[in-house]
Amino acid sequence: MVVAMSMRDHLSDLEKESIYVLRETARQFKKPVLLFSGGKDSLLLMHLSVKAFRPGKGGGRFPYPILHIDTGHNFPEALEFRDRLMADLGENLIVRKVEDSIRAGRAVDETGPFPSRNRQQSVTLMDAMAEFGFDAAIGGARRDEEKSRAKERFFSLRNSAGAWDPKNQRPELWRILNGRMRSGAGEQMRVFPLNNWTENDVWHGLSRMKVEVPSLYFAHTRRCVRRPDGNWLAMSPYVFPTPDCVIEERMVRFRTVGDMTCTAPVFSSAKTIEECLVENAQLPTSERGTRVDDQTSDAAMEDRKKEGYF
Amino acid sequence: MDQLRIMVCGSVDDGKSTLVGRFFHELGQIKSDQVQTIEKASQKNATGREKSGVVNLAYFTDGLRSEVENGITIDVAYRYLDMAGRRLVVADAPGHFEFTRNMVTACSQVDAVVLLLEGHSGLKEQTRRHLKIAQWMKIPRILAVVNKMDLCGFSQEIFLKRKQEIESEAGMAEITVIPACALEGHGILSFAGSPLSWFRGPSLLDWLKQVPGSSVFGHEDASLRLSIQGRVLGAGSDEAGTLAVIHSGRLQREDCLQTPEVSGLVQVLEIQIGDQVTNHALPGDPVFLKLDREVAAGTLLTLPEKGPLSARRWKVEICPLLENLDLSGKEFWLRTLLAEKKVRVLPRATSTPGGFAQNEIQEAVLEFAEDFATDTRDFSGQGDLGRFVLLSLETGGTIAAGFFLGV
Repeated sequence: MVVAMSMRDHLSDLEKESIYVLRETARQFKKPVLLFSGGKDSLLLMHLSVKAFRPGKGGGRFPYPILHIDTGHNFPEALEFRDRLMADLGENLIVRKVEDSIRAGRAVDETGPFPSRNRQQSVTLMDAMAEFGFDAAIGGARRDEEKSRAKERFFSLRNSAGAWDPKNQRPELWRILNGRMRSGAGEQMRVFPLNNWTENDVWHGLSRMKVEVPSLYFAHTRRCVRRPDGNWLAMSPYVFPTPDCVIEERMVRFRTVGDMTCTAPVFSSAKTIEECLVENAQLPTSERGTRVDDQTSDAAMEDRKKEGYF
Repeated sequence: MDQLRIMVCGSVDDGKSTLVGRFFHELGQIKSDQVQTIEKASQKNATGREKSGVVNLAYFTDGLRSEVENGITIDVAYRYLDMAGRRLVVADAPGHFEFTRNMVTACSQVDAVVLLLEGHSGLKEQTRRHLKIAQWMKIPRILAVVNKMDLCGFSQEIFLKRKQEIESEAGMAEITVIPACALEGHGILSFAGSPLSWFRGPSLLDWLKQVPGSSVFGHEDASLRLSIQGRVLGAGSDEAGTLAVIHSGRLQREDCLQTPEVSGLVQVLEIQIGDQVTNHALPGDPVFLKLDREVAAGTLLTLPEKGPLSARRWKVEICPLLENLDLSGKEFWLRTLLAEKKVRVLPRATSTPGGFAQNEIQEAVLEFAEDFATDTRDFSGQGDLGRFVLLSLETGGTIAAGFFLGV
């Protein structure tokens, strides 16, 4: 067997690639913004931004603010974590609430026993982009997560309504990233520096950087509800279980962290990143298999991306 | 873990997505919720050979609404797999002529190519085009898979005929050719016990284990190419620094570098990666530099006497990626890793309207407003700076890919 010229560590290459994309974003756009949800992927983006723009000893600042689209359905642990991280980093955090979009009549709450504000986030995001004049939004989506995200570019063009046109994406050649947009047309760019990271890579990356991650990702006891369709959710003030639901205290962790209303727990006893990775390899489902928001139709993510979703 | 990035390409309906789906399935890499999605799509859209309740594994990568509805691949999908000691990135490219731009996109991101053709029908126009593009983009390893061998009775004779055809099409380049039947899984992991067991060569999996991987970034032993990406924002002026990335070669502290634009040398006083001060840096390293003078973003730095060529007129090869492009005599943005400049495509006499055919590789001459310094495609550092794209002045969209050949 021919041995590769240099056995490269693929994790270092992923880091270099992502930092390259972050720096190109800062170079090519007038007013980029980093979207932060409190989940592991946007957490990784924050720490890669430190490596890209802050040479240590207190020097340097991110060339973009952080934007959190707050659905009001967050895990309290995620909000606490967000505030502690922001205090540590001293970067500029902007919060815009779906609640305000609903009050202003820009969005409407879902009804029923398990209402979600997942879809409504796109309205608040687009309004925030317009309010601040952001021309590029950096997100933590990965190709490995989901079948429409598997087709994303690094620089992914959106029209003035924030819509993705998956049938007509721009060619993206080599590492030449094209941030040009039609002037005056209200187009914007979505930037995905983590495109090539897998779920395992994200954990190995965070673990290697020795950074704190939200406690939600590790096994803990929690009151959970089993919906009639078989999906489990965390009990919260935002769900209204019908009598045919089962409510139980279970030992769980979360593989992805979205809203309390659409993120299903995994039954688990894994207390460390290493234990989570071992357990994930044995789970029958994929990472996004725990997201109820992906199951509303065959192309739920693609449809939301056409509405301006992350 | 090292990394191998491959693209699966070839003409429409030669079985690319089915091969990718089958490969992941055989290795037990498709999770139960993904299987459910594939089954649903298969039931809804049973066509051709996949009829009669058989699960169509092509839906593992064909995930867009219009792809599922039409049973085709429109844009490249990326899938990831860990083999022993190796990360495999698989790009499943579309076969249609009109989506060649997405195949070119995929091709620009890989180290090796798996090219499919059908045993019974052989090479088609798009098979030839994909092979030509992969060779043009200097993909060093190509595996040709003669697929659908079930439709020609698993005949060794037909396989050898196809092998000869593809080898002569590939010319001098080294190409490995194997038979397979992706639908039934023969030749994917092995040939043992299959109707193709007469074949004495690597299976798809064997080949993927042997092929050398490579890096997204350039070679360490080539000449130094470093570009400035901007400045560190911050309060205290003694913290100010320069953001830069190394495309090829090795940067040392105290190196004196030249730029094509400015006379005199720029000295590297300090190199930092993350929060670590270091004496040298390698390709891809995102560095913070302290230089003895301010250098603008987009500037190329090299060692003296080892810089690139510089000229106003450049001979290039381009591949226009959209239909009905009027290139001749027109102006565009030309974008390289470094910078973006306005160029004019000099007119030339051809029979094609606009002078240039879509998805064909053609020579052209580009004229810049002033001297432009860059490498040619034969630069040993992997030719990173020898590559460019053309952008529409009106929409900003990427309309062509190209290489600098010389001045």
